[in-house]
Amino acid sequence: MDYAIQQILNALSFGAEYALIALGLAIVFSIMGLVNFAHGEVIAFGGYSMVIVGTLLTRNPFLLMGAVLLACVLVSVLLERVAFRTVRKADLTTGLLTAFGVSIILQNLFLLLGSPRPIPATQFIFLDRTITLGAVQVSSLQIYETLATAVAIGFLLFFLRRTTLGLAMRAAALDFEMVRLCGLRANRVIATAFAVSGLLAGLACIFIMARRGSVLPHMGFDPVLTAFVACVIGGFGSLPGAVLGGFLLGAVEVAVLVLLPQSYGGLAQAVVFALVALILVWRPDGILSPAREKGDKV
Amino acid sequence: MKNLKLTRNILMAGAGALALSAGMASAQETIKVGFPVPLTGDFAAYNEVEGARCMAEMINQDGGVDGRMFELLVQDTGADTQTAISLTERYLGEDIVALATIPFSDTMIPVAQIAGSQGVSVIQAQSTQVEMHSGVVDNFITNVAPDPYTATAAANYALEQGVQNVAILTSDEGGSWSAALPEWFAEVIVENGGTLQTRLNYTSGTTDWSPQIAELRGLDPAPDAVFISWAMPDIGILIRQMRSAGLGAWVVGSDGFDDPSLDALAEEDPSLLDKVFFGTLAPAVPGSRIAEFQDQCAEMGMEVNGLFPSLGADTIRIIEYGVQTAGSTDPAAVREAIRNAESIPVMSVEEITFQDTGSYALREIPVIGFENGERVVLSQEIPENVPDWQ
Repeated sequence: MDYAIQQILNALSFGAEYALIALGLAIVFSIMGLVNFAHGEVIAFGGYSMVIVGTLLTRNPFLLMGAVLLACVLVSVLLERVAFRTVRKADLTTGLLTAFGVSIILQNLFLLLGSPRPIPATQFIFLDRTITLGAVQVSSLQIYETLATAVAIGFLLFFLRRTTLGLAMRAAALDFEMVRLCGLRANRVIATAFAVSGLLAGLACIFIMARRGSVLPHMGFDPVLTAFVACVIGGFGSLPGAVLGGFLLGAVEVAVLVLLPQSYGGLAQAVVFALVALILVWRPDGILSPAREKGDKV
Repeated sequence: MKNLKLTRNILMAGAGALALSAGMASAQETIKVGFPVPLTGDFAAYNEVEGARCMAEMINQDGGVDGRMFELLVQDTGADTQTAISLTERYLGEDIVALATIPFSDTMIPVAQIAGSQGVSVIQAQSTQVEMHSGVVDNFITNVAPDPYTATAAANYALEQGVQNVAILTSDEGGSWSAALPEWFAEVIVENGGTLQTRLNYTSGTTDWSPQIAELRGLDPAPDAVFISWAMPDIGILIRQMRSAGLGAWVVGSDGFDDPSLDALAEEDPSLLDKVFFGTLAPAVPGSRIAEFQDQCAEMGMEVNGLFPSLGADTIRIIEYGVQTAGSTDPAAVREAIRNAESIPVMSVEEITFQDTGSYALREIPVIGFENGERVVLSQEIPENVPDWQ
């Protein structure tokens, strides 16, 4: 029983990380219809910023966290201005290719200006401490990460439902032209979506760095691929769907790792994606795909 | 007028002959080595170019190999096999003596097959994969011993420390290096009276080892050692999470642990590395020949960081020996000279030989551990109890 509880907690921890990154992807997709694969490089940029600020300015972990969040927000908004604004009216494929292009360029910049090797940055390691509750061990990082995801969801719900800009973003997701006709600045609405996405990337970066203690050029790319799958499961464009997809994927991954006989270990990823495929057979648009309202984008 | 024309013709012919002979001398004086290697991408850290460049520069500054200068042809493959093949074909047209490429068999085998069609050898600085010694190609030479030697050296040291119960972590994603190497480690332990308690899986890029750690915590008795053949940063996370979860077992590994970023764990807490050791390719610890070489390169303004890039220097020394002994840059003659040598001096250790093995270097395997966060050589041997792997 203790073992089962332990693994359920582990699944929650996996899921919280995926959910946090998936939310960052979903918020941009819901406004622009763009799958921003460069989101992972925003996370990696946060890691490199941590190295630079930690080396040159301060090793205070709390100031570093602020620096990471700020760096991710700024680079995310900058990418929107430099790369994505120009393809805003182009079709989905162009946006997707642009995102891949930005991702590759940033990875190579990290490689050339940084190093292909992991660069140590251990200031956030203190977040990862083991707490023993009876026979069950919980990492403090698991608790922080799950709490941060919950707070992020709450913040997003409040922002999207209670603020003018948030309402504008929701409206833009339905009919962008109408929002512009109502006098709202399209650039500001989209830049805000990227800023929120950058903030979520910064949060994810803090937790990833607390686990890894080092930064690599491609450190954000693999988690974003997994988060993309989480978005697909939950229903692309749906924020609750992204969270649900993240937690579901975390649960499936841990279950496969634990339950699959070790001699079939090489099939772990195959089993995970087979289960994902089954979910999509049941719900082709994802579990919580947004209802198609009148005027909604198809 | 006629005499003037004749004189002019004679002069032109002479000049032409001079130019031709100068060109031939220049071709003779160059030892070209091709490096279709990843300079970008995930595996860029594993290329040997930095060390090879520095050693080639050192030899060239000393007058070359009997007057012949090294020339390295380097181009990025981004770890893509097809790019490596295309570059190999290009280099073969430029009269190379040998090739070096990424130490993964899925690239080395096709590259060696193509190079072999023109008698050129693939001389790899760090390849430990057993697939390369199965007879699939006959023009492959590696500067290091295969994985079963590393596993055995690590197991022998573990046994000396009283290790009896072991758990191994395996993955198919690194080929035999990550899947079979832990099994060879366990085989030596079991042959000496120990127990393999469990095998656990993992995937590349694991940032949370909690599920595996929960399994390890469930073992009774608690394991004395956990073996994994994988690389940083995943290894660092595993060590930290194991210690954080109260698991005090030795964490034992292979050459994947041989990365300067592992040492950074000591900055956080030196005791994290107290019960960590690994069998590796060559001893890269403070005061070693490798550290000395890195210092010399730094003085020349050429940074060589880490064991893997440093071993490129050995490739150059092996080729230097082959060219010197063969007295030519004919690739087949150079390979023959290398394989027949009783002893070849290299940078990382005093000497290696291919005489008994043909395709890999028999050399002492160091087991590296940590004292107060500093690397130390714990043992060094050519293991004789290597499990049957061929």
